[in-house]
Amino acid sequence: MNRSRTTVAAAAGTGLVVLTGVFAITSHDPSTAAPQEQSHPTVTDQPTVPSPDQLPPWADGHGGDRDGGGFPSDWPGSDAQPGTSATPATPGAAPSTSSQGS
Amino acid sequence: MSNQLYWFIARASGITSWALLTTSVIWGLLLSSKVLGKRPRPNWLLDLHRFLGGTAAIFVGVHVTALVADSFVHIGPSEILVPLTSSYRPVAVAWGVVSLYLLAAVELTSLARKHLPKQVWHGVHMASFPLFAVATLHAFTAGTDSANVLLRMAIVAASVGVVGLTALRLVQATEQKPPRTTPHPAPSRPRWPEAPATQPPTAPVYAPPFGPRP
Repeated sequence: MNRSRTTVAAAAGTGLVVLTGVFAITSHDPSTAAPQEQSHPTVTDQPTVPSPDQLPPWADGHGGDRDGGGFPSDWPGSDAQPGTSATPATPGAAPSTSSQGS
Repeated sequence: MSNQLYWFIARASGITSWALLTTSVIWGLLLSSKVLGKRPRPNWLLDLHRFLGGTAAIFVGVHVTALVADSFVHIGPSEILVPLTSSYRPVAVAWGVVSLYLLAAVELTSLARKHLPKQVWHGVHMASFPLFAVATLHAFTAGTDSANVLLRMAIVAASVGVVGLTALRLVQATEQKPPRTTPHPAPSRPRWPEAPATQPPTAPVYAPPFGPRP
């Protein structure tokens, strides 16, 4: 009986020590970290604030000052040639004057 | 790492105490159902069953002490003794509090078994089954390692073992229970011819093995 008791006690003590060691070794894993570390989730995919160059011309709140003052080609009374875009495709870039229809 | 040592010990002791508790329950079922026959002596099974339960209680003490000493989860004596007061997974921790009380009841009545009526001891000892269920629920929901595949497999295997042995024990108890009403009267024993009336036995006369006979 004493041998059985010793075996059980040794197995339990070994299990405690081994598990503690395993937890300490794998503590860098966020899935096994302490609960406080889990309660504050780390935001990795924060929404990036677009740079002013990436904003559309109408999104700056000033009525689209970046559009160069031109009208869309299909705007009534526009002086732009049909099929041409007076608004630059990308802000800061040169206006495209290539004809889309030809 | 040193500031998390208590947290690691709490997790390790929790898993170890659950394993000891499960083994003790299975050992008790093996003892009562006599599945193993007489080859492992019942005294050996009973002694190991008691020792497993006592060791499980000791490791639960380590588990609780480490949780109180730990600074990651703010669990104090009130959170350990009163269910649903913990800010960390309150329901899951409450299962642990309930299992702590059940384990204390089972262990204390087992220690005082000689001084208790058998029915009282047996009634409290039956709380081992809800104790196993609640402790398993606590391990499954409160533990950081509940997502561990090995632990899940161990929990499933232990649950299957306990449920199977419990079902076997229930079947045995049903079969052993004598029926309350017998539909047919039991056959009477064959009656021997009445023996002639004899005189009451008298005290034997002492006859020494040697020497003159009386």
